[in-house]
Amino acid sequence: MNHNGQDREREDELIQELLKDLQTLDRVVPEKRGPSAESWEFIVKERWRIISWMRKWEVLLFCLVALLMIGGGFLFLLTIPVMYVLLQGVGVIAAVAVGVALRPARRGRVE
Amino acid sequence: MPQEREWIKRAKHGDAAALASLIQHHYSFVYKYLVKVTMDPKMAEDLTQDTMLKCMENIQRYDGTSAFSSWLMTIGTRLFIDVTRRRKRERQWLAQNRSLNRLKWHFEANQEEWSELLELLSRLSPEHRIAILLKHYYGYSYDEIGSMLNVPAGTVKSRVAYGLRELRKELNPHES
Repeated sequence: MNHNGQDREREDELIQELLKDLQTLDRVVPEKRGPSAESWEFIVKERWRIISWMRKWEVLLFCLVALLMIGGGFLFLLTIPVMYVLLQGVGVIAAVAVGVALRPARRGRVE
Repeated sequence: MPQEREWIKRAKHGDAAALASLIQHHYSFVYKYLVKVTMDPKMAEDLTQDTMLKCMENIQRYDGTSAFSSWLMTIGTRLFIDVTRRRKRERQWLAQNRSLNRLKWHFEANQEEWSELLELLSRLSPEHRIAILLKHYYGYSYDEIGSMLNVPAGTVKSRVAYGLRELRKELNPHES
């Protein structure tokens, strides 16, 4: 208990010393004001303009890459005979399904 | 500070003048913080400018859960950690020596003594130094520091304890 208490005391002393030295550091290092508010305003506007321009190009590039991948993917699929037949088959089934779905409506209207 | 809240609200709505005022108001504070973190006034200046640029890009992400100055400190700290990770160890040691000389010069110019404690603090790893600064100089809680550094509060506590232990060990080598 006593040892822990002494440790705690020493740590507190160390921290106090450290804080004093850091305050000295804050005092001796000169302030930096940086650019004026008007300069910052110009920088902000310029930065926002560049970001907006970059985002537009990012979206365009993304769409281009997506289209290329889709186009390339379909091209690849069509070169494989099994996949080509399967795609044709799926297309035929879809067409028949649409035809069947539409037939009762036409019969109803005629009657 | 009500004016600051007004600036933040307007900046988030695209008012460049409001954001510029905010940045200018916090510039010196962030710079002083980064001098203590980096122990290098030149690097602190560069990082402060990078911090403000990041602030401009991400102002929409500021949600007001912490103080604006804390948010800027978080950005600056993370930028510094990125820089130290990218540097190679040998170049880091050389750069560290040069940066300390610059800092020591400021002390000499003001007829102040460069203490052993500051020397030891500069030799701690950035993670431990940052944890000690944020906890004991800036008064943040372990949870707040954990959130700033993206680490658990327990890790922050260990870093602070380890850092202080190392400082004490170097300062008083006869202690076991």
